[in-house]
Amino acid sequence: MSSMLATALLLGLTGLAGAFVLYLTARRFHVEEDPRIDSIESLLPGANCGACGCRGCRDFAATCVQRNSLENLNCPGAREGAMKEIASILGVESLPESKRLVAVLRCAGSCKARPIRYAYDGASNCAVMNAVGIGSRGCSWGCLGCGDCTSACRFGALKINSDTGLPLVDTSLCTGCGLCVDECPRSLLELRPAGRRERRVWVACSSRDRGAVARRQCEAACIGCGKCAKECPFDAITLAGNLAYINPDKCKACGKCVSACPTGAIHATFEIKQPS
Amino acid sequence: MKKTFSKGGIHPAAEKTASAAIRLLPLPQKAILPLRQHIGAPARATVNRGDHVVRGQMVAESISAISASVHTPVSGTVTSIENIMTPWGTPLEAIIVTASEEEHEADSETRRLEWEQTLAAKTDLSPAKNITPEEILLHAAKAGIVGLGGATFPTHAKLCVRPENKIDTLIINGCECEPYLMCDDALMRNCAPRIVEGAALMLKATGASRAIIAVEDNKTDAIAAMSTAIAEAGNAAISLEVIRTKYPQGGEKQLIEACTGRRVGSGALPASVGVIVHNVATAFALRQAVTAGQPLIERVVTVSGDIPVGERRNYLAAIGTPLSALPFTMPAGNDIHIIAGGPMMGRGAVNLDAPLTKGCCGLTILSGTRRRLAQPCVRCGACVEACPMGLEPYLLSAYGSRQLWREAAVASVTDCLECGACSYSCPSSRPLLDFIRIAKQRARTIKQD
Amino acid sequence: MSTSQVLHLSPSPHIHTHRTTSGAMRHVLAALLPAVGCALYYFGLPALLTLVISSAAAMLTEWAITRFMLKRPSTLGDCSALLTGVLLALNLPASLPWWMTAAGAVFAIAIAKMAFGGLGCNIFNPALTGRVFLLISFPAAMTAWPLPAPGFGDADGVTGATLLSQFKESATDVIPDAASLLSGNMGGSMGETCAVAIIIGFIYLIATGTIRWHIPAAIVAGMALIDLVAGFPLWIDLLSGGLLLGAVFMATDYVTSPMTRSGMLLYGLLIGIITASIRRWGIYPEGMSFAILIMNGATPLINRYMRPTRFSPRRKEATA
Repeated sequence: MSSMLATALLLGLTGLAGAFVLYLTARRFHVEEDPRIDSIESLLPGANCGACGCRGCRDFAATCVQRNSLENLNCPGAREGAMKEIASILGVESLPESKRLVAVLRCAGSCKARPIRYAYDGASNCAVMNAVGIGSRGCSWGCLGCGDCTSACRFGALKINSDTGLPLVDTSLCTGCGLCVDECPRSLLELRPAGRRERRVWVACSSRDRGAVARRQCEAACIGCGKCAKECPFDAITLAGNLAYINPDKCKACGKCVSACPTGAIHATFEIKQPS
Repeated sequence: MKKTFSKGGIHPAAEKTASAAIRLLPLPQKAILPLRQHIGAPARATVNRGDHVVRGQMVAESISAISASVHTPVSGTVTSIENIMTPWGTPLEAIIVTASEEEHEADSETRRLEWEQTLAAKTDLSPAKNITPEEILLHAAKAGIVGLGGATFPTHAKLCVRPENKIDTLIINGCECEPYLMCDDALMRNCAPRIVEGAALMLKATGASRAIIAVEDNKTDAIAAMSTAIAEAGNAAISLEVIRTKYPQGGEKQLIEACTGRRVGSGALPASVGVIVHNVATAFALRQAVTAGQPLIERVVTVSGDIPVGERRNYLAAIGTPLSALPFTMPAGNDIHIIAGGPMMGRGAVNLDAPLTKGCCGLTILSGTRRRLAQPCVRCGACVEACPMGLEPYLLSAYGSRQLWREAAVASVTDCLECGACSYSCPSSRPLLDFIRIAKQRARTIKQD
Repeated sequence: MSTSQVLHLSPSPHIHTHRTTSGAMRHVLAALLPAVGCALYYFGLPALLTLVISSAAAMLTEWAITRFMLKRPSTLGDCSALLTGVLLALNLPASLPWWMTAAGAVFAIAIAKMAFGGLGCNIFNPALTGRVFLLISFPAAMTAWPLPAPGFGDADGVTGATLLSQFKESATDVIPDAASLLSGNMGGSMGETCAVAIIIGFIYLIATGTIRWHIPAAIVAGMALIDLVAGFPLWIDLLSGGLLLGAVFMATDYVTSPMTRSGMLLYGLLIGIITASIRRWGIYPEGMSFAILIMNGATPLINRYMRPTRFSPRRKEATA
C-alpha cells in the first residue's frame, strides 16, 4: 500500500515539475506578436483560399498590420461587415465594399441535355478525363462532372447535383475566391458580379464548335446564332468563335436575351416573364 | 544472352497475329489533312479553298525549326480548311481535299506501280553515294517526315546534329514492343532493302560511324528479311542486333541501353550520349523522300485486336484517310474499346470519321471490360518492379492525385515515359498512369519557373 | 455497333495483368492449406475450432466496421480478413479458450488494421499484433502449448514445453530428432510445428509469383549470423518456433514489408538478427513476432531511404 502511495506521489511530483518546466519555457521563448494580428485573424473565415493574394488568412492579417492600411487588401470571403471591423482595429478608414463576385457555371450540359455516350474507366478526376479526350458525355468543351471544382472549394459552396450531373454553386457560401475557376481543366467556371438583388444572366455554354456540331453534342448548346445580341438593348452581348458572351459590366439583367435564345443556353437567376 | 534494358519491363501477351502481307488501302475520296500531326508548331496552310492540288503537293508549310509540312496524298480540289474532330473528340484544324474521279484512278494506279517496285527492290546504296548531309536534311524537311513510331518528332530536326554533340551510333528501331501492332514488322518483311537504304542515308546525315538495326527476337521473318537486305548492301557500318522481347524495349532510352549500354541522363537527349534513334518506318520514308522524291503521304498501319483472325491485317494507307475506311467487324460483347495505336500507349478513339495521321500506327479493337474497380494500394511493389525508369509509380500517382506537383517534380516524374507498365502490373487496378500524367504536365511548368 | 454495345473512352493502358490483390490473398490461403492440414492432424478438434472462430471473428469485425462505422460496401471479397484470421489462428496454441481467440481476432482487425485505415494502410501486421496482444494479456494461456495427438485426436489434455522454451530453461543437452522437427510432432502453436507443410507452401508461393525469396532468405541469413556468434546450431533454430511460418507468411506480407528488393533484404536480415538475439539472450523463448513487428515499424523508413536506383542519373543542374 505504502509503495503505491510512494509511486503515486513520485509520479505526481514529476508531473508537476514537468509542468513547471513547460511554463518557464513558454515564458522564456514567447514570441512577441502584435495582438492585432490575432484579432484580425479571428474575423477571417480561416479557409486559406488565397483570394486576397496573401499566403493564407494569418498572412493576410499580418500583412494588414504590417502595412497598417487596407490598400489593395480585401478578403472576399469575410462575412458582412468584417472588413469594416478590421479597418477599425487598424484605425484606418474602411474601403468601400467592392462588388461581390460569385462563381457561375458556363455549361448547361446536364444529363438530360447531354446524356452519357461513352464509358469511362479511368480515375474519377476531371483533369484526367480531359486528357483522354472528349469526355464521357460528348462535347469537348463541356463539364466532365467528376467534381474537381467541388474538392477545390474550401467553403463547401460547390456540390455535384446528382440529377443534372453538373456542379451547383451555393451562392450563400460562395466567396468569389476563384479557386474553382483555376481548378476546372475546361475553364467552365467564371467569377461574375452577383448582381443587384442577386439578379444575374450569363451564357451557360462554352462550346466553340459550329452551331450544327454543338447542337448535335448537346441540346442546350449555344449555336452562335446571335439572336441574343440583336435583342439586347444595352449592347452587352458579343459573339466570337460561335459563342455568345454577356459582358457583366454592361448587362442590366433585363432577361430579354433569355427568351430570345432558341436553345435555352442563356441562364438567369430569376424568373423570366415570357413575352406575350 | 540476348541484350535487353536493365530495369523493369513487363511481358504482356504479344498477340502478333496480323497477316504479314501489306494490302493497299484504296486512296480516300476525301483526304482530311490536319495541320498538326507532329510535335511542334502547327503547319501553316499554303493553299486556299478552291485550289487544285496534285498528289504529293505540299498543302501546309512548316513554320519553325520544330515543325513539319503536310502533303496531300490525292489530287483534287481543296474544299475547306476547317476544324475537324480528332479520334478522341477534340477539335483540330485540317485541310480537306476532295479527289476528282479521273485523277483518283490515275493516282491509284501510280501508287500501285510504285508499291510493286518497292516490294521487288533490292538494296542499292549507290544512288545516294554523292548526296551531302545538308541535302538529306533538306529532303527530309521538304517531305514533312516525322518520327513514325508514334512520337512524331520532325525528322529533319532530329537528324540535324549540333556541333557539340558527336554522334557515333545510329539505332534504327524495329522493336515494335506494343502488343497487336505489326506495321513495322510487316514493313521490315516486305521492304527491307528500302529500310537499309534509309539507314545508310541517316548515317550520312548524322556522321555516325555505325548503324544498328534493332529488332526484337519474336520477329523471326523480319530478322531474316533485314539480314538479307543488310548483306546485299555490303556496308560494314550497318548491322542487325536481335534483342530480347520485353515491353517497353522500343522506348528510346531503353533501346539505347540495350544496344550500347549507355544511359541517357534525366531530361537529356540521346544525342548527349552520342546516339540517335529513328524508327524503321521513318528510315523507309526518308529513303522515299531522298531517292524517289516522294513526300510523307502514306504509312503502314495494323488493324488488329479481338476481331476475326482473317481481318487482322496490315495496310498501306494514305495519310488523311478516315479511320472508318480501315475494315474490321465490331466484336461481340457489350464493351468495345477502339484504340488508335497499341493497347499500352494508344489513345481511345470514339470518332472514326477522324483521319489517319502520321503518328497513328493502327487500330486495336478490344472487347470486354478492361479495368476492374480500383482497390486500395497494398504496397506490393509491382509497379516499382515494372517501371523501366526506376521511378516509384505508387508515390508519383499519390502526388498527382493530391496535387503535390512540387514533390512530384522532385521525385523525377518528368522522367516518366508514360509506357503504362505500372498501371498494367498493379494487382489492385489502381489508375496509376492517369495521375502520373497530370503530375507530369504540372511538374514541367514548375521546372520552368 | 448494336444498341447494347458501349464504346469506351479511357486512358491508356488498355490491357491489364490478370493478377489481382484478392487473387494473391487466395494464393496465400492455398499455400497455407498444408499447414492447416497438419494443424488439424496433430491437434484435432480444438485446432478446427480455433481456426473457425478466429476467421469468423476477423471477418465479422471487418464487415461490421465497414458497414456500420464507415458506411462503405463490404470489403470481405478481397479475402484479407479471412487470411488474417487463419494466420492468427496458426500462431495460437490449439487449446486457447474460444473467447480469447475471438478477442485476438477482433483486436487484430479493428485496431491493427481498420483503425489505421483498412487494407493497405496498416503499419503493423494485423495477425501478429493480435497474437502479441493475446500474449501480453493472457501470458499463461498463450504459453500453454498442447502436445500433439497425431491422427486428428483431441489435443486438449496434455500441455508441454516447446523446444524453444526447453532451450531457454535448461540450455544444452536436449538434442531433438530431426524427423519430429520437420514433421511437426512436437509442442508449439498450431501452424508452426510442421516445417514440411510450410516449405511446401513457400514453394507454391514462389512458383505463383506471389512472394519473392528475398525476405525469407535474408531472415535465415540474419539468424545464421547471430547463431554463429552465439554458437547455436542454425538448423534447430530454423525448424523450431514460429520461424518458418513467420518468415514465409508473416514477414512477406505486402503491406508491412518494404517495396524494393534491397529494402527487403535489409528488412529480412534485421528480422533474423532480432529474432535470434531475443531467442539467445532475451527473456522470451520466442522472438519472431516481436522482431517482425519491430521491423514493420521500420518499413516506412526503409522505403524512404532505400529507393530503387533511377535509370536516368540526375543531371547536376548548373542553376537551381
